[in-house]
Amino acid sequence: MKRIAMVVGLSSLLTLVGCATLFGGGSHQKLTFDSAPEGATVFMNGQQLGVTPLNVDVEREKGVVFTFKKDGFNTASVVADTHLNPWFWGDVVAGSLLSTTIDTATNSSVKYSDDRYFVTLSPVGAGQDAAAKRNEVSSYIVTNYGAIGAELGAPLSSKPSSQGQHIVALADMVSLPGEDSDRLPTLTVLHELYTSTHSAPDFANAVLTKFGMN
Amino acid sequence: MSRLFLILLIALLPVTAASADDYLSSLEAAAQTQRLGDAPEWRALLHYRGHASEVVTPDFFLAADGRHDPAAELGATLAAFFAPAMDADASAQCRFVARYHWLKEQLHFDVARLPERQCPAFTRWYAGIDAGDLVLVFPAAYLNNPASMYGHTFLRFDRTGRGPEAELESPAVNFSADIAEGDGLAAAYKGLFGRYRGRFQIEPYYRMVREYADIQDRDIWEYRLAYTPAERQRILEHLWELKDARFRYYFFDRNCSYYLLALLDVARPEHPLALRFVYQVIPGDALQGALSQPDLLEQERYRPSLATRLRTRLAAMDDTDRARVLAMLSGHLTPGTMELQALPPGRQAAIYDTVTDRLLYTGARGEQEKDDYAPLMQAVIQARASLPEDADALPTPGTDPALGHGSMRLGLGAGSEAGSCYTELSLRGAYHDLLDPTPGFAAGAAIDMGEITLRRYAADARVHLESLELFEVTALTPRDLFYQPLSWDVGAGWGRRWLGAGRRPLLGDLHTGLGVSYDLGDGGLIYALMDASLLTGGGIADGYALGMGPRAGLLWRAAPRLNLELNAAAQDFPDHLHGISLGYTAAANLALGRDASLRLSWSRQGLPGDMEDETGLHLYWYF
Repeated sequence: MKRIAMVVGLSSLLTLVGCATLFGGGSHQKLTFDSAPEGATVFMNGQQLGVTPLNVDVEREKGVVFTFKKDGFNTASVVADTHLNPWFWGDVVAGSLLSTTIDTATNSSVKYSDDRYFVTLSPVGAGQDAAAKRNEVSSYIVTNYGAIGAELGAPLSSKPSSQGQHIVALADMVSLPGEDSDRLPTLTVLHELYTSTHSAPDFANAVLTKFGMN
Repeated sequence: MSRLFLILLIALLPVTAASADDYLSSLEAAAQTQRLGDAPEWRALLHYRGHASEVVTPDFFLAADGRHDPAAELGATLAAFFAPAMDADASAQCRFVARYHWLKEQLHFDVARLPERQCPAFTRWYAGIDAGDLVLVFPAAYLNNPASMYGHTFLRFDRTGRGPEAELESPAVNFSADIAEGDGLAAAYKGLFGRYRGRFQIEPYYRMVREYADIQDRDIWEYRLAYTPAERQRILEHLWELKDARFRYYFFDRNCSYYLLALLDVARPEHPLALRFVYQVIPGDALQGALSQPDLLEQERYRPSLATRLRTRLAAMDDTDRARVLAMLSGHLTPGTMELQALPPGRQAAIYDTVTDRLLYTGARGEQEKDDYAPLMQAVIQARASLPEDADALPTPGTDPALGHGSMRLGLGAGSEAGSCYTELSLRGAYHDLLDPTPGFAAGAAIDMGEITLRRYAADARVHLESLELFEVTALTPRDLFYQPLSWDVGAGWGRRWLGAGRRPLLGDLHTGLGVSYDLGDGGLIYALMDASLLTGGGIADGYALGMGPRAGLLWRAAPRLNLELNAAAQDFPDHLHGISLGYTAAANLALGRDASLRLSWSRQGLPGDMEDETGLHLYWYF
């Protein structure tokens, strides 16, 4: 009996040490889809799931492609995340779907948490530069929403660059980069938009609309 | 008139083609005369190492055997520059911009005979990068992912003329392996034996910061490098060439750091960095290799992780304010109440900032839904808005990886074991143990890979194998108010073990431990683990023994160059060894410099009533 306990104990410890992150989750996963703009119909491998903003229970499987369609906008397809952060390899970055600016993407998507996707759709006929700008801003917002909020909580002083990199970077993205004094009006607007919205997708949509990118 | 023009055009075509062929021939002859196919710059651009290129993508080469024949590849490249292309972006000049510019510089292309193409896609991409300074980024070790324990390296191109506030938007250049979900343990095999392909990718830097600093609790070190604008341009042009290229990925020696060095080598091929590494490329070694170039380091910056920032804030508070932080997080203290307003503004700000960091921390790791903590975050932000700006100093950087010792270690030692004098020689492949000099490494973290120890006793002319350690990985991550990780270790190899009655056989040893650690402050760390071991070998009845038992220890960085350790362990092997196996160890390691240390050790092990003492004095060189 003791021997069995020892074997079980040793096996359990070995399993816990290295392999806990390998085997997780059940056969289903709850996913949330948001988009800019909202109201995009979401398909999973061709099967319609609903309209954004959308919470849905999906079956975990390989080779899943999510498609987002909305009249007047280019269709976006997102390959479900290849989880690039397995137990062993540190040379990979987890959860990145926006692979490279070398491949100029008309649409972009961000998996900004384990179960949430945010897709920026570009209007049909929109220029590549404008689409890239929308993607850049929306991806940045949903990725850094918490830090943006925390930095906007500090008093908006006359020296904005000292307040935090996240909001200064956002201010420079939505308006022309400039001196600190040029950023203060933009930061004030961002502060108002942040406090009047309640989620990352909402804030992203509000920023894109306010600064003429939606 | 148009007919005359057509006749002239048809008549001139063979002449034009002949003229182009003549010019191509003259360029090929000049290239041969100058032996450009063997030039370091050309070999760096084609990633040749030895007799073959390390790029495994066929389309990267223009010659049939371009992967093995740099001269043929150069000839094919020159010919391709003359080839017509309906789409300029698909032409060789635009696909291989770095090759084109280097060959143009070496062979002084006559643009009248070899017109230079406009490359719209490349031009747009290059302008978008808007590259200014080049920064080498090192996310420090991540204890709970074995491969990430060595750290990581990637590059960042800061935007021209923009200050630190724009860093988050900057493009980061990262080399990574294409690993698919579901590979599981097969990933270990595939990564060790080159079954994965790797490639360069560009990500916004803020994503890297979020992944490494916010989610993986890794401090980030940023080293601004003094590459000239021409050198940076060469690196970027080559990165464009590599956008579809794949490399074979090997975890130990053809990894992120190796290919990153290879990318930097195109800028300074006369001082190749990648070629210095033969058997392994550990990120810390790669970092030190890159920074070893004279006058290359312009500026160094430290970016603490969220976890480090949180720990620093907590450490700066008294118990009362820590209690207030907990109360606010659990909903028992509302932001902006009179109790808080009565505090000095600086203390209020510190409490709110700590709560904010904690919410960001749990949110980043998915431990709490944003909808759940958003109301508290909003309330904290509103209460914080009227207070002074955060004046807290950043956490003090204590483990600059550029200061770390070399990852290989050679040891010479002497001592006494059960009254017999011995001398000893050891060699370790990598990386760092708990007593090795601390600068550059995380406290409480150790990875020993491939260490062999040979011992010779004074009374015996033979050399004995004392131990062969395949790996020993230890992560003693201290628990605190918010973060309760498990501490653990795992190891495998062969070592001698005192079994009493004069027996000290060489046994196979597979072991693991789980437990907890706590930071005592002032460089002290205590730990307690429950170990499980499987011993194998002819020295044991039935050939194997399973045992479990507790182990406790104290690690103390007593002085900047002095590390101390005490530990005690007891293991019960109920069916195969008689009695409980005990072990006590005390050791002190004095750093003699960055790459040398002196270690004094004492240990007692065995069975109750039948134990042996061992002492040793070892000199270690790290390289």
